[in-house]
Amino acid sequence: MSSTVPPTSTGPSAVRADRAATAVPAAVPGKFSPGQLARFGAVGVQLALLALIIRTFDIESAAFFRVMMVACAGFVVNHFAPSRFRMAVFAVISLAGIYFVMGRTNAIQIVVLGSVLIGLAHLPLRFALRVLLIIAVGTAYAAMRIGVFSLVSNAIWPIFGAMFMFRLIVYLYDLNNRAAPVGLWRALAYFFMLPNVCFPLFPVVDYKHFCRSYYDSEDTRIYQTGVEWMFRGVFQLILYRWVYQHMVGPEQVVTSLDAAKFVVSAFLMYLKISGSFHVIVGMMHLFGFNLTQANNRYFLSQSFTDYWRRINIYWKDFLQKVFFNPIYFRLNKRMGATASLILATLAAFFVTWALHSYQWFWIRGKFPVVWQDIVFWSIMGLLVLGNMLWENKHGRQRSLKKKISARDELMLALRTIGTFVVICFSWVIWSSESISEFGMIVKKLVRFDAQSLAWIVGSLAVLGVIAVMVARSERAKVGGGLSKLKKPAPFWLPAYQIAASCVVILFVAYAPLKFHVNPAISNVVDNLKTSSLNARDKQMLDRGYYEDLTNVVRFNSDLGDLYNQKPPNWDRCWALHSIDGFPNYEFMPNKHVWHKGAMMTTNRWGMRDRDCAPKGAPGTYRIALTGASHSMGTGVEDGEVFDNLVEDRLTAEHAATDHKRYEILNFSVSGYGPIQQLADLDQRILPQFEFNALMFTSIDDIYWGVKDLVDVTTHELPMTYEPLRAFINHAGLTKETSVAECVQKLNPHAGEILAWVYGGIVQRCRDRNIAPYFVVVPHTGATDATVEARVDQSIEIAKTAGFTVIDCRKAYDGLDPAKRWIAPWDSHPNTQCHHMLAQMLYDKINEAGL
Amino acid sequence: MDRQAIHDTVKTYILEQFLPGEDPNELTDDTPLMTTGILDSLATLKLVTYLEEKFDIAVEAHEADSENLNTLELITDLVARKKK
Repeated sequence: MSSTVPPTSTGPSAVRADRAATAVPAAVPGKFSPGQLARFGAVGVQLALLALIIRTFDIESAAFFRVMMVACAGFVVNHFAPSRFRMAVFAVISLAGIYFVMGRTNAIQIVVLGSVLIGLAHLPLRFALRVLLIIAVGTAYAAMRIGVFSLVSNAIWPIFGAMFMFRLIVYLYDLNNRAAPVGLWRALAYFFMLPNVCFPLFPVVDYKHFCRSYYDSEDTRIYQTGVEWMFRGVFQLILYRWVYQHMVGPEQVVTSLDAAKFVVSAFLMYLKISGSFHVIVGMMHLFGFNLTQANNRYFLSQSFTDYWRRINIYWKDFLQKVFFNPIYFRLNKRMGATASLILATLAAFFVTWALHSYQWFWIRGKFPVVWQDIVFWSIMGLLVLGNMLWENKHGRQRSLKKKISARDELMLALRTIGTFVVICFSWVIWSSESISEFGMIVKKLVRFDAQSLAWIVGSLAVLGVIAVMVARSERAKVGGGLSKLKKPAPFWLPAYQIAASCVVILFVAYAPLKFHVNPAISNVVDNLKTSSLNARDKQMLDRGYYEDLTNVVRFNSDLGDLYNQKPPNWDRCWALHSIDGFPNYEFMPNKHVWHKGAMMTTNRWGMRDRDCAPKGAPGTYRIALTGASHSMGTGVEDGEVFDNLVEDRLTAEHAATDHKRYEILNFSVSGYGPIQQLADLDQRILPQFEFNALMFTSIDDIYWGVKDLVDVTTHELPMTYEPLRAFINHAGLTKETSVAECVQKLNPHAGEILAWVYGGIVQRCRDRNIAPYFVVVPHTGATDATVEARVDQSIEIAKTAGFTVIDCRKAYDGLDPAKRWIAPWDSHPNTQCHHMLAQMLYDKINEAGL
Repeated sequence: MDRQAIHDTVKTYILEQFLPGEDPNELTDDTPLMTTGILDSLATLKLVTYLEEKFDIAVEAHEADSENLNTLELITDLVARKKK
């Protein structure tokens, strides 16, 4: 590769691009002047404050903070480096970033695999042949991504994919059209650009724009713009966290106001992307890349074409450049403008759908083909197309006048509200589990009550007013003439504003630690400072609702980040098999398998336990234990499950005194709720085994009981308990009903369902002279008041039914919640938790005199 | 057609089509058009079609970007280059 345009590149655009890309701005010679040093110092101070906020609020990930540190140090080195070396300096800093985040081996693998692709792009062969070679190598990489064979670490693919999946297309396009200069350092800087190493979702930076924008303005002004955008990005990421922590699930939607909140919060999830993109593009500015702002007030879009432009200008430009324009220009000569516009737009949205799935392939390892994507992109394509045809016929209002009429402002507000509402709904469709779930939300929304209606109309009116105010502000900037557009952006005022805003945010973050602050406010600030799953996702994660994770994590980057680390087949338990009936699965006997990071063995009875006989030996006190994954010991080794520990200790301690032997027979099966445990008692445990006591373990049965009936409904499982079947029938639930609607309709009866189940279990025990114990096992994470209230309710129901309650909810107290899970992506209790639970259960058993 | 004639023709078209009512003196040679949204995607396509028909030139798909169309001066350059 040469360091400038190749000799064959003689096009004027390439010459201009090269001139622009290698031009050194006038500000550079004066970078050691007091004025420039003061500006550079001001940017440095803002950057330091931002880094402190990122650390305080634990923004994104530990990897991001490392990249931020590299960026801060690199910013200084790059600025003071001789201008001709700056591109190389940035490339080296970017490679260093990969090393610090991914480690040496992964970094080498990423660079080697990437260099192969870059090298192929520059082979002295015909362009088509080079593309074919790249496709062949890319296919081999894709085969490695899905595990067909493996030469490199699986951990590199999301980041490697993010670096090359789109940028290579743009690079080849510009290479073919000789639109921009090429060079070794420039290519390395372009593909391995620093922020990419911690952001798999990355704006599609155009290569030509990357080259042309490089130091195309005064350097400190570019840096200042970068810091401003990074601040905006960080603020949006904090705001996203607040929205995420407070968003409701579809099953929690009761009033039309709840439905409206649900609809809006679906759209607000994009704050995560727009926040990241602001940070990414801002960070690039610190190294002189004066790139375009990625997302621009997309909540205030005035039309669908406007929205398409504002939501992600990088994607729109990429699509237009590589797909839309070539199609349009080719067709326009044959078919005319309107027909070409229609076909090119529809083709562009089809490509958008396909490339989004292609993106998920590299990030998650699966190519999702789901109806939600198809419907969403079809709707978006048709909306944008309709809007374009209308504008094509009627024209779009472009005015730089300082004032517009009140009628025009009213129309602007209405257009903004209308666009916002339609876009919100399309996002709800995109993120819905099913059409019936979407239908349920719409039904709730249109059942207006006065209070909800007032809130919804008021909020939309506020949005309209904001749109008008922002439009006025934008017009004021350019009002008085087009020449104002060329006025350079101010430096010091925004610098003061950003620094002051950072100080305020840091004060808010640290004030609760230093001063007496209302606990509610302190709690809100604490939640904002912690990156964790919201209450709903924690519950869903615990309860295994996220079976098809590829679909779920498309909209939940917090869950997605966790699942991205999960090894393939993590959730698959090879010891389970399906059976006809209810429960519809059970353990197979005599299996020895790896499951969730540990070896687990089943005995001849299909129990995750040691071998046992149907009847106990004389002098043996036998306890049957039922429960789900927490009691079965998911993710801990054989012999380390809490029941084994208690059994061993009881037997050992009694060996020296009364020679009494204890046996705890663990019948727990992962995923079993209380109704499944009752069925297991009836079908397997009581007919085959003799025991003295039953320990029925529960973690949150109000929820689990409902889940059992939801599974019965949605999977059409047989239900022989007629009183429970009646709950399903009375609620009018069918296989087609969405999970959210099932949960919503059964929730009011959760207490009655549980009372019937618990009563049945206790009655069966009494009939056989078995002592019924109700053991409450703890959650591994922090629980909110709602969950605690549900657990309290289930305990009361258990007491009323006749259980003796053994409350072990405090068993894990004293152990850092971050150290309780078997893996960062799996909330099951680890070995240490099992030891702590065993200790508490042992103590409680002794207290109860069992 | 000389460069000045191209410049004036294009300027008149942009003012009439996309900025009706604006002061012609405000639209200078280096006023940014694409990066400020005066020329959006659709307007750019219209402009290209106009340039092709009016000046009997062919604009390639990859040329329809801000590098060639962002200012009056750049548009004039493009047309003049194609006319040679």
